[in-house]
Amino acid sequence: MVADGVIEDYAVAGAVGAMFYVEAFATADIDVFVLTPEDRIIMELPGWEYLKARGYTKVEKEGIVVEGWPVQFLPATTSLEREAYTRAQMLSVEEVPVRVARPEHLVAIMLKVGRQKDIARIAMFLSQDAVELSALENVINRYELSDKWLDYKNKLLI
Amino acid sequence: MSNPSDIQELYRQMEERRKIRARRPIAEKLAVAEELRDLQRALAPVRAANRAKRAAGKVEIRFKTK
Repeated sequence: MVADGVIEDYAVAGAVGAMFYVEAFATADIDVFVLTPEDRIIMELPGWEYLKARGYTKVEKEGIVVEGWPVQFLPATTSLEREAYTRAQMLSVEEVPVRVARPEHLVAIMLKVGRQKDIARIAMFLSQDAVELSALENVINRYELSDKWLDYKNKLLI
Repeated sequence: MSNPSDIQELYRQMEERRKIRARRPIAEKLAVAEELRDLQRALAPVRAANRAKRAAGKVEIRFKTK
């Protein structure tokens, strides 16, 4: 899709993004950050027409089903999401290059969103040495998440 | 009853195993995630039926205290 100019670039985030760094866990879909112009409020599902033309017509859990996985193209709208998108790194899945958000951004986004499953996943990153604390705290401080981080650490007695 | 230090050791070993699993190739981890996803899909109707039963008060959950 990038090569064909459908999307400028992308960054795998969410649960599948997290799995690049921590052990496998259950998830229903793949979240992919894409960039859209900031002044656009309403937009079409990015990539929908492109994928539909290639036979991917099924929609499930607000995502286009690609090879059995609903893929959600999420516009990176907040400054934190935009940084996660911009600073994503190239990793590979069986020698296929894949652009993936960095662990510190994934954890910061989870901290910001703060659902139960996000809190559980943050614990996975920490206990599995999957995120560098100094890099994480740098992001946390820059995006005013320090209170949430302190609250999280107090709850978990870190 | 287990010795608390045994339990601590058990948890330490479990954490170590998780760290090892975290370092497995992403293709292997995605294959596991796929299996888990398929299992969740297969269980979805059962879970929905159970949720409906609980909502209708048809399930009694007993707590054994002794």
